Amino acid sequence: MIAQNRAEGRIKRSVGAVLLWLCALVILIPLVVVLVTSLKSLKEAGSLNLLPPAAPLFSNYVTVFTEGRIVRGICNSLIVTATATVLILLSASVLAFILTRRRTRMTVFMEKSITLGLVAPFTALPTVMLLKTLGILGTRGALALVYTAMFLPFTTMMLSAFVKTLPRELDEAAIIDGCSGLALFQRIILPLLTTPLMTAFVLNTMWVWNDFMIPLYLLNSAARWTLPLSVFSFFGKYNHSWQYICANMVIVSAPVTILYLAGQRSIISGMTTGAVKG
Amino acid sequence: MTAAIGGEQCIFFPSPRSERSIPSGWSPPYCDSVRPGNLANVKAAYPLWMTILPFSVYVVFLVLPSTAGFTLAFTNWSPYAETLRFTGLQSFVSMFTEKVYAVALANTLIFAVVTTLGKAGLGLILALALNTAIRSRNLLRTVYFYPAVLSPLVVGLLFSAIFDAKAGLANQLVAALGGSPVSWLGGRGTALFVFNFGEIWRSTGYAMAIFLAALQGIPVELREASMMDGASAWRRFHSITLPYLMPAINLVLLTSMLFGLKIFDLVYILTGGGPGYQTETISTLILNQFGQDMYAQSTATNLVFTLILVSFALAFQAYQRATEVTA
Repeated sequence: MIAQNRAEGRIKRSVGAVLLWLCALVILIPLVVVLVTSLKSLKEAGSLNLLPPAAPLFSNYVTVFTEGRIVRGICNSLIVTATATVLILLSASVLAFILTRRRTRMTVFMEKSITLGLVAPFTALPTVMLLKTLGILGTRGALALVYTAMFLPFTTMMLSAFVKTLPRELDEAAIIDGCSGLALFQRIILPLLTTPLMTAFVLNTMWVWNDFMIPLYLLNSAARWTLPLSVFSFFGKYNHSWQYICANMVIVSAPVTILYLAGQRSIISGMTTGAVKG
Repeated sequence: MTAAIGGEQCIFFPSPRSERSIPSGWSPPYCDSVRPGNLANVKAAYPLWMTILPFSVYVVFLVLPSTAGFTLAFTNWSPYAETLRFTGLQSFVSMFTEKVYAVALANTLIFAVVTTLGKAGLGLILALALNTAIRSRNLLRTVYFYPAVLSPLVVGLLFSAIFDAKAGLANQLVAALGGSPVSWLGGRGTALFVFNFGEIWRSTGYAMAIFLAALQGIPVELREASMMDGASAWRRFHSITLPYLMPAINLVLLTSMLFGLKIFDLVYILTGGGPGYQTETISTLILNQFGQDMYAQSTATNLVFTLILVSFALAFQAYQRATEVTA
């Protein structure tokens, strides 16, 4: 009886796995099509399919690298993403610390106005106008500042929820020892925020790195285009040369894919627990 | 769980259970020398000046454009206007007369609702299936989550390839089934289908991961006890799993509705809002009006868009209060 049940369970588990793998084909097939097409000739790529290339053409990748201005795009994206992420993490942790510990009418008001920023969309033209007035329209620094303001609310709220769980006695002990303000933040609070800061780092890096809409408004000179803009302009130029477009997709997705396969556990939990855990 | 947008707590980050039982203003009884209740002391330990720099970046680059900046919607602002003149509601009048606004709003709403239901439904099914002792479940999770790490831009390019009228995989499938080739991105209905398919393809794994995390938080004893009591599978799902999942479900609904209402990348890459304005969404409309030098109208659309998002968030908050009271 038990043996029969066990066998039944094993069959059930295998059938379930087969069904789920069939569903997973919806995800896998497009990915494989892109991978094989990226190595094909123009003629072969005229019709997208799963067949392997007659002779793999790695020269497609060389063309994309030179024509697609990939290196320039990566450099610009790195500058903007690194600046914005550092600014977001620093600002948000300071705000989370002061706004949750110091409860006055002023800080409650500040916290409420930051919460409103969670849902507000990008205000495109007024921002363009503002940056023009300040004389910084089209610079990478301005783009990073706009990202900082955009993504600050989410990270601040996330870190606030975490600071609230830190016992106040910790602060009190430090205060007695004469450690307050910036020193209290630097030496006591910040080291304890490492885990949520890692989550915030993963999320913000992905958001800023992938964003395509805001630079479309704020960067006019091609020399400062971030990677998504370079990719998009390449797509416009080589519209139906699918072998190039596919090679471009592979190049752009390779870093994130490698990171994902190497550290998927922390990436998945970083992308989900940041939102779920309370 | 309590939640508020604009309030002290927020749906993304419900405060931990233990904290909620402590009344505000509570302080440990033994530290009389340093009382957190003592305002002078608190002020010295948590100086407000530390917030000045970060908060002003937020105010200048986000609050300023989305409040003062919106006054530009009530002017004749365009590259050709020599002086800015107050024109009242003129930029808003066309919203009621021109069809493009209604089409963009309808497309955006359809996209937001369909993708939200698709992602939440499929994500839930996948999570329930992968929460069992199924074979190769770790590899399956890796595969299903993978599209979520791809950029929306890449997903847009991918689906412009798959649904290309000439070379695309979709039309080869149609031909194999005996149909004639479809111009997927050339018509409103089929293009909307491609948008929704693309977004559900990209984010279902993400919803699945959130549900899986919540499912793993259900105490095993509860399940075992209910099985011993002879509860049916449906009863167990309805009375144990679902209540535990509710916060995660609400989170997925909220985040994917907000994402759906803001959709830009996918649409802009696949159709750019065309043919004509058939597949325009609110975000692409704002950009296209900018491209057509209709600066004041674009800002007006942006203002209405902001109001729609804020009122949606407030409505959601009320809904959430009603569904999560018990937690």
